[in-house]
Amino acid sequence: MIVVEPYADSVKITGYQIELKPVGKEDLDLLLTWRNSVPIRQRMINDAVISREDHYAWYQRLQRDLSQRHWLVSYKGRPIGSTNVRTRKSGLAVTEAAQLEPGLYIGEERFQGNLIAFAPTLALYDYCFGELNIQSMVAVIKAENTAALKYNLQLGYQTIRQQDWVEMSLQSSCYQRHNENIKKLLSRPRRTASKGTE
Amino acid sequence: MTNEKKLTQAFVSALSIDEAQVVDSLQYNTIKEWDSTAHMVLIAELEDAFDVMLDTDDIIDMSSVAKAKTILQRYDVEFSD
Repeated sequence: MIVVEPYADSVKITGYQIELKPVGKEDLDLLLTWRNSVPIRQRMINDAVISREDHYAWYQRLQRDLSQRHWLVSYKGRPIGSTNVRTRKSGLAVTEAAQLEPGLYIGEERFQGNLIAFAPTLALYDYCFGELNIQSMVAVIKAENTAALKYNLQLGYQTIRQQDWVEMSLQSSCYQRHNENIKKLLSRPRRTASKGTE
Repeated sequence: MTNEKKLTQAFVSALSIDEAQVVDSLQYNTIKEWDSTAHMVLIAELEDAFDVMLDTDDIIDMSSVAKAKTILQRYDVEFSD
């Protein structure tokens, strides 16, 4: 169950213990630090180090680009990563597409490989399938990125092409079927004070 | 059956691993058997074994066998070590 609220020219999405806030200028330095870190960069299609100037220019272009949307992922009020979707046809807006290509990285090391890493994807996909009514997600992943491949298989993706890059597709019905249980787990109440705190 | 034994059995059953692999240092996502799907089965096994209902923060925090013990202790489950 997600809550979707208008936010700037996009939407803020809350659910499964996390919040997806549209990326703002105030987030850019943190995103650049994560994006240029070796573990994240190695998994990217473009694995070059990005300059601060290029990063800010990308953000300026993003303001006029309806074909992609980027969010900052926060857990317990702290930023932990970033997620995005983009259309697969140039000139098409995210809100008009039948297929979207997702992206995600968890920048905070302690949450990489943690169950919470599924939460931003669940919130984003609920929004895309449930509110934007897209037909499918198509992910393109480096063949050596076994963690991402496994992650996607657990979400219900199926491999449709495999070379240096692996193309995977996820239909709405398959997504709903595969993720019912994890959604329930991540929707349980938060810890109460009587059981101790971190 | 001791609580240590119950815990071990829950991991063995949920992850389909040998008893010898269930040591405090065993961590989520470091062996192929302990993925998100197995984690959900593990939660169900632990809740059944100890008659508790874990909340989401605890499900997320349960990233190792040692952490599982620490979390279960909050639910009044005692372990000898």
